[in-house]
Amino acid sequence: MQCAELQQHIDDRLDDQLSEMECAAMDRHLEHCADCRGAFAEEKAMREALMDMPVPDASIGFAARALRRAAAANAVSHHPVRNRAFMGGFAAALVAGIVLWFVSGVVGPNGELATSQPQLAELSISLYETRRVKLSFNTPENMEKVRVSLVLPEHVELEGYPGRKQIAWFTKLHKGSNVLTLPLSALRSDKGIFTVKIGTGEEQETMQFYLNVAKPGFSTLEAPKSA
Amino acid sequence: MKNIFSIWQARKNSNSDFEELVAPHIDRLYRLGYRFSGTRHDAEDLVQELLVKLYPRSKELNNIEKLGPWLSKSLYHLFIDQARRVTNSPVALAEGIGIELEAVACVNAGPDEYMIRQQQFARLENALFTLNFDQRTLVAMHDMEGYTLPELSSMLDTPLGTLKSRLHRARASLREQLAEK
Repeated sequence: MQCAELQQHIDDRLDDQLSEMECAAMDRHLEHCADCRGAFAEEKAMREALMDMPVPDASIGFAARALRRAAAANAVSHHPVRNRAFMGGFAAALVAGIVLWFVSGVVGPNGELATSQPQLAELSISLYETRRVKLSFNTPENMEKVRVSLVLPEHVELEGYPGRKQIAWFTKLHKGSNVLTLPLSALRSDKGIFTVKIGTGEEQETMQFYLNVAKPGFSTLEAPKSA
Repeated sequence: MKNIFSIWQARKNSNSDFEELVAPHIDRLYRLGYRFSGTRHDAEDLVQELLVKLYPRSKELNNIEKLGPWLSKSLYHLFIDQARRVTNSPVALAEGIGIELEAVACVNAGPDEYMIRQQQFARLENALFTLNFDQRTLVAMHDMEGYTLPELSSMLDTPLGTLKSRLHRARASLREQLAEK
């Protein structure tokens, strides 16, 4: 076996893709070739480092929480919605249910979803901390050119869009769950309304939430209002 | 909207089949999600979204012979879909793809060794995130999570030879990146 051939087959060797005979030929070459030994050792070290790269534990209670949220999200999206705001046209086609959560959790200590019924949902975020709010839109079919627009209260901004209070764009929605991640930063302590509109042409759904800049570590989720 | 929330509560106890099937695989899915995305938050989000999508398919899941690899394959496709959607979304661009080496306990290592290892991991992680989605996920599944080539060939419906070539190119890129740093 020559150097070029050996170095082409280092991956195969480490992937257990060589026959015994090929491995023996490679070993014979490695015994007397320092360059190839170096190349082989380097590749092996990289593989070992990749295998050893640590994975932090998931957050406490993640598995149970994720299962509960999956059930809750589907309880919404797979049930016929009788609310008038969802009947007919785009609204009926688009959003059977809207699920909203924070990445780091908006559920109660036992993972339950808050179910009280105020006029608007209230989301609490901490001052100067970026909080990723997620909106999930469930659609029964693929939808082209759906317009999404955001109107942010004065005291909050979308990361990467400093000073922009209104942001709109067109996107596609895929059949099933579509998640929109919004990294929001609070600029000062205040409370204001955050509006999300989604639609095609003149038909659109509007969701509104209170964004409340609260003390760190405090968050709530209550029912959103569909206009 | 009142109906929606009452339904949420009413269905609270109807998920036991799904839990029974999927719960044993969540840790592995989370690990894989972390390998793909590079952060705990994104990994949890990815797994969460997968569970939301699969929940209505409990009966179908029940008939899958090797559920673990099937779930991993689903997670992979979801990640690729999301990554491509993120690329096309002006909002998602604001968030970007984070590279975050989170604090992890390192046993049997003194402070110096710990620091050196953390630096090595950080270099490697940065290099990994220069790879494209397909390359990174392949390296994650094969070189980091230990899926074999035949397993991956079956999971990803890709011929063995094609996978080998892709992995070879991915590792070559990785080596180049590491050599530059």
